[in-house]
Amino acid sequence: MDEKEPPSAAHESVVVAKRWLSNRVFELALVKPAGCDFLPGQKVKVYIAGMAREYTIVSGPGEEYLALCIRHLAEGKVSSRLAALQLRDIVAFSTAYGFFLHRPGRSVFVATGTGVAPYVAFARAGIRDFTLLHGVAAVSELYYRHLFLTTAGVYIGCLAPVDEAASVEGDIFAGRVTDYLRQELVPGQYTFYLCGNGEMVGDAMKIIDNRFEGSRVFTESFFDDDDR
Amino acid sequence: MKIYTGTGDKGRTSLFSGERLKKNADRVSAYGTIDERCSFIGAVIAALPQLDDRQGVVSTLEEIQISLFKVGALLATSPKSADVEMLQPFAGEEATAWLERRIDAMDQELEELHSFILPGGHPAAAWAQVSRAVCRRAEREILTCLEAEGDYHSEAVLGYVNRLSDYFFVLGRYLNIMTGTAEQSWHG
Repeated sequence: MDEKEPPSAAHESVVVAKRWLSNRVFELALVKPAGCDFLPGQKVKVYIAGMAREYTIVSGPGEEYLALCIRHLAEGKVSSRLAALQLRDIVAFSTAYGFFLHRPGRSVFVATGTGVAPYVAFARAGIRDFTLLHGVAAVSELYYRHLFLTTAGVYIGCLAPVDEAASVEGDIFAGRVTDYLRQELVPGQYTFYLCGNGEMVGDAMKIIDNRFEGSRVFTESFFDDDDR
Repeated sequence: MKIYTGTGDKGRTSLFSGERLKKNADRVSAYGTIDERCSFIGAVIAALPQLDDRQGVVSTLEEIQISLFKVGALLATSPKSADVEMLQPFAGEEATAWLERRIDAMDQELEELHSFILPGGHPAAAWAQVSRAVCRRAEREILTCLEAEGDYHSEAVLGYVNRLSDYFFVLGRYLNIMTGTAEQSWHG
């Protein structure tokens, strides 16, 4: 959604790091301003050139900086500007908001692409022993793999199309996250978190309703044709 | 941006606290009626005539809509869940007292009733009476949740919803008086 002016509650802060996680996804770190509190799983709206976009915070609440996970689209009006930011540039953003927060229970985190971002914040906040299914099209898109290898109880990279999967060591599943839910995850009651493209969220929900009766489900959807 | 994922296409929906329920479950009916209720208030606002205190009426109605969002969120949360801590608090008794002050202010302008009146009159008054009736249905559905689950959320909002229907009854009459629209009495 475009917004001409930042709301009065917006923060301004300085870029202190930009780290590319793949050739089109990067983590942008800003100095965390005083009073900028957030809960793991929340997001902020970033304001730039009269436009606004939501991005999930990937830093932990105890860290001194606020990091965002951003997918750079070649035609993206906002992501292109953010990708071009230099150290010490200023960025305006809203207070943190959202209810995609971790709850007690047997957690199964499901993501496609950069939908893994809230789970990064969960892991950096000290949440452990979760199951994470991360659906991507290439191994290079398994962002934050090293973090999850040391924090998840079960970490499965789901590769679709599947031809690359056989050549990768570790917990790689050849197929979509929804295939894993349908074929591999032991039936039972879980607390599911679905974050990613709307098609995955819709398909996963149908499987959960059929196969994991009595589970709780929290969702955060985005769509690949967003004009980012 | 698309707003649909198809997660409800098979007749189920998620509570704020994550539980999956059938869309005809009592709890879903209750917060669905609150949503309907909130939408009818939009119709009242859209149909409001020019009045000396029009902006005051609009402000009150919008404040009620905001309260109903809080009520809806409470009803959409399982009473067994700690997720209620994440919600904006709803002070039911305070909100009810606030409504009573507005009812009393309008009531001073009205003649005493000696018979039932037929809902209708000015379009805004007619929408106010529809709102009142929907409010009564919400009340019945909330009571069902309260009885089925011992739900303290429902208990907190029940008095407020009851007073809301009183507010809309009086508002309907007030709008007819203020627009010079005659009330039709029922002579059964």
